[in-house]
Formats: sequence, C-alpha cells, structure tokens
Amino acid sequence: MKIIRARISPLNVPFVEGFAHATQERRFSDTIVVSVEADDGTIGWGEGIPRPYVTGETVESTVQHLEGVLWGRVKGCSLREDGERSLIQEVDAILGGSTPTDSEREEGVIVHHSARCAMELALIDCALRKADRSLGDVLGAGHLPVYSAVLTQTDPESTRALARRFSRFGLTDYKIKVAGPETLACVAAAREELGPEARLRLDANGAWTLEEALEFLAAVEPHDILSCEEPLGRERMGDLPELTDKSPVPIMLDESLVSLQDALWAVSAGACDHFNIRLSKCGGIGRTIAFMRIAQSSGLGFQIGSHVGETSILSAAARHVAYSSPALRHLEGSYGTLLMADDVVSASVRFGNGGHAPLLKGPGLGIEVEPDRVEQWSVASVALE
Amino acid sequence: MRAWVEAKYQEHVQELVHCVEFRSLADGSAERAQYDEFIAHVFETHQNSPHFLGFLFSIASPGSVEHLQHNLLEELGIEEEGGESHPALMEKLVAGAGLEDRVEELRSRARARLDEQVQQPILYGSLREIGLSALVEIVSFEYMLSRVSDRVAEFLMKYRDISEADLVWFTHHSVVDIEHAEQGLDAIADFIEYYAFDDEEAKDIITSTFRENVFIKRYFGVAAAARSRGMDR
Repeated sequence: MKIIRARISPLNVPFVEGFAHATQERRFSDTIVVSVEADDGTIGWGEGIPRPYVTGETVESTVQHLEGVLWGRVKGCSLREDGERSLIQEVDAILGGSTPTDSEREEGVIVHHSARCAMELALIDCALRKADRSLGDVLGAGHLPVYSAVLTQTDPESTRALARRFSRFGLTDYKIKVAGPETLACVAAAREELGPEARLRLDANGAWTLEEALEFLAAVEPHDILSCEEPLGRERMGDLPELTDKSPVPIMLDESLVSLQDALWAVSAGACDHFNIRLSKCGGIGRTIAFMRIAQSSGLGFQIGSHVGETSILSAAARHVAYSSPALRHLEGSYGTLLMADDVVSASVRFGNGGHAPLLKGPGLGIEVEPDRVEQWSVASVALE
Repeated sequence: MRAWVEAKYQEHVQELVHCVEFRSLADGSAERAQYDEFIAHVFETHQNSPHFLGFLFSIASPGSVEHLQHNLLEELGIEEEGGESHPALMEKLVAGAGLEDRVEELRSRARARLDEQVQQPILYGSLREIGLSALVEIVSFEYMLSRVSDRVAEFLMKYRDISEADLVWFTHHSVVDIEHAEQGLDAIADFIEYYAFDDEEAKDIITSTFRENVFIKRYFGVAAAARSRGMDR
C-alpha cells in the first residue's frame, strides 16, 4: 500500500475544568491530529501534542515540520501489509531523524518529536488496519496496569476534596502536581485522605533549584512518596546526579528526557531512578520502545505518561505500548471526558473503576475516529497530496 | 441535602438562561437555523428519557417506587387514557417545526448517545453510586423544565411560528414538572437515606455529575457549555 494523502488538523478541544501545574494553566487542549490515506482508501490516524516547555515545539512549528519535512518523506512511501512487528522499524526508517535546523534550534525547538509521533502513529494505524491486526497484538500486549489520577489543586482543602472524588472511582495511584507554596500541606492532605495504601508520586515540572528540591523532598519523605518527577527542569540537568544521589525520594525524569541522547546521558551520569516516557514527547511508538529498553537494561524504573489534553488517539496508542511491558511501574492518561469536554472517537477509551481499562482489540490503534468530530474542533486543517 | 441539591439546580438553571445561546433564542435575535438546532438537541436529549427512567425505576428506593413508576408510565403515555408518550410529543414538536425529515437522523443520534453511555467503562463501583448520579441528572431536567419550559414555548411560538398544539411537550412540562421536580428532590433525599450515603459521599457524586452545565451541553452542544465556563480560551 502506498500513502497518497494526508491531513494535518490542529485541534482546540475545551476541558471540563481547568488544569494547572507549576509552569502552565490550561483550559483547553491544543493537539494535532494527522490522518494518512493509502491508495486503497485505508485511513490511519495519529496524534502529537507539541509543548514548548517539553520539546520546544509549538503547534505552528509542528505543522510546518509535518508539512515541510515529514510529508516529503512519507508521500508515496510503501508500507508492508502483513502486520508484522518489523513495520515499526520500517516506519521509523521512513520518518528518519527529528533534529531541528539551526534556525529552529534558535527558536527553541529541541526535537521534532510530537510531529514525528503524529505521523508515525497514523502510518502504523493505517498499515495495521489494512492487515486487520491490532497494535496490541503486534506488541504482545497482555499486562494490565491501572491508570493514575492527577491532583492539581493548590491548597490542602481542595486537594483533599479532589482526592476524595477520585478515590470514589476506586483509583489507587495518584500523581500530585507541585503548584505553589502549600504543596507540602497538599501532599499531607492527600495522604491523609487517601490512606496508607494509596500510591503517591509527585511532579514538580521543573519548579525547583537543587537546594529547594533537596529541602522539599526531605520534608515530604514521611508521606511515603514513590517518586518525584522533573524536580529541576532541563536547564538544571547538570545538578541531577547530585540530587539523585542525595534525595530520599527517587527521582524521575520527564522534560529533561526528550531524546535518546538524554536517556543515555541520564543513565551514564546517574541522573535519575526512573524515566517518564510519553509517546508524543519521545517521538512515537518505536522510540518509546527504545526508551523502555534503555531503562530496563540499566535497571531503572519507568512509567508511560500522558500529555494533558490528548484525545483517545494518543491514549489508545499509549495503552497498547503500556500493556506490552510487564516492567511498567505506572500508567497515566486515558482521562477522556473526565478532562476533555469531547473526544474524537465513537467509543471513548477512558478508564473505568479502579483505573482499569480493557485491551483495545480492533485493528490498528483499536479506535474508531469520527472525522466530523475532528473537523468540529479543528482550528485550521492542512490537506497534503 | 435536599436544599443543597436544589441550590445546585438553581445555579445551573441560571447559567442556562443567561448563556448567550439561550438569550439569543429568547430575545428573537437568533437565526432560524439556531432555533432548529435547539429543537433538534431537545429532541435528541429527551428521546432516551424512558430508558433512563426505566433504569431508575429498577433501583428505586421503596419510598420512591410509586413516584418513579408514575413518571415512567407518564413518559410512555400509558398513565392515563388517551395519553401520548413523551417521545411522541417530541416528534410532534419536530413535525410542527417542519423538521420531520430529520426525525430518523435525530433518533439515530439519540440512540448513538445511549450506546456510548452504555458502552463507556463505569467509573463508580456500584449501581448505588451510578443510580444517584443518574437520578440527580434526570431530576435536574424536570426541575429546569418546570422553570424554563414556559419561556421556551413562548419564544418558539413567537419567533419560530410553532403552534401551541405542537408545543405541548413544553407546556405540559411547565405544569407537570413543578410537581415532578418537588417529588424528584424528595426521591433524591430518599435514595440517599435508603442506600446509606453520608452527606460527603453524596455531595462528591453530585458534584462530579454537575462538573459541566448539563442543560447547556445537551441543548446547545459541548462548545456552548465550554464557552459558558470560559473554557474555550
């Protein structure tokens, strides 16, 4: 099958409630959906979420890269139709590298991973739909971890209330966003509300200096925190080895871990205990698997994280990858209409009670995208032939 | 608890009548197509009411069985001789607006929504919690209609030229739902007591149910509900 058309659709999907962390407050999602069409009419769907504070990509730079670079590599390419796992390597080779040009780097782009992820998922979905094979089947998915809730409140009472509301859904895993001076009291409130069995993690989104991180993590240790994500931020990566060595709470990297070079550096420098691997940030399924292998071979833990405001397209892809790895520690995402006011698929992949969610057994990503809904939330789509 | 729920309902009704979309229908500044889309949304929203009432009846607390049974039979048009089912009254509304050629499409949209709700993974762990969430949402519509449907009938008659006879679904609700809404609030209180919810638990479930304005969402769409809370910018 040959790829003959594509469409890039940047979406603005409103949230049901605002979502805040140390560096951002969001009221709607800005994500990019890509569809590719093969010469036999098969359509595949992908998604990437550009975030300036993660990969340096913006919606504009991502659309430009998809249109100006990736489409040139993809247009007319042939994809295998047998649904074999080597499809992932073939797509990886078609898409090539994600390094920005000098001028893009000057504008802040670290790596074009969300663009790459959107196109990669669309190609894999298209080829597996043609083969009538699910991605989970190809990856060997069978391990069923539970999804985590995210607590984003800035004062103890609202943290307690939100934790209680989530606990009514039977959730056991929670990530608390560091946001403001009352974070320590928020953690204490969450622990008290959720009890000793709840599995709590922190995410600082790069809010601290080394000294602040060490002070906070020492103070929070009695609350039995499994890990602290991105304490320092990319600009202070050099302090990570010392922090990891001295911190009483295990350190997980997120925004400081966007390229495979970052991962190899983190391992060699002893800069963390865990990786937070997210499909869009890491450049798609093939590279996510590479990140997972680096973590496993180095004895590091890892989780599959999510991007705030992802639709069921990205959530479905992440689920297949997560369910294929028994070594996975935690899983995020699949919030569906718990966060977004709408989705773009006919049957939501949102998790259910206890954070449980089924394997998606349909062909490709296992979801049915509704083009009308993509169109409804699209702010300006680009057709490519 | 009854007063707390009612205050929440009042808040949401106020949000509805003050949203841009409702106001433009009420003051006649809306385009004809906007009235048509509103009618289509009302039809789609209420087509599934007998299904939801059937579900609520099946898990009703003993003190509310009679009320829910009455509501269900009335919805089906078999409570009184010569009664018409509410979905049939909705069809009358759609036909009165000259939109009968859309009935099949709207029925299928309503069915798709029901299918989506049935197939979606369930967040709560028991029917007791799901039942409370469903009950407060169903009663909220009775409460809202008892306070708003007269106004709706008036603007549809005035600005969309729909006859009084075709607006009977709205005029019926303005009269009947005052009583239904009161009984509904009693049924919620009864459900909470019978299934031994503590106040905090009940409030959490109700708060989760009303994270969005369900009236605006159902009658004007997801985008309008988001706009009403400033979530689109």
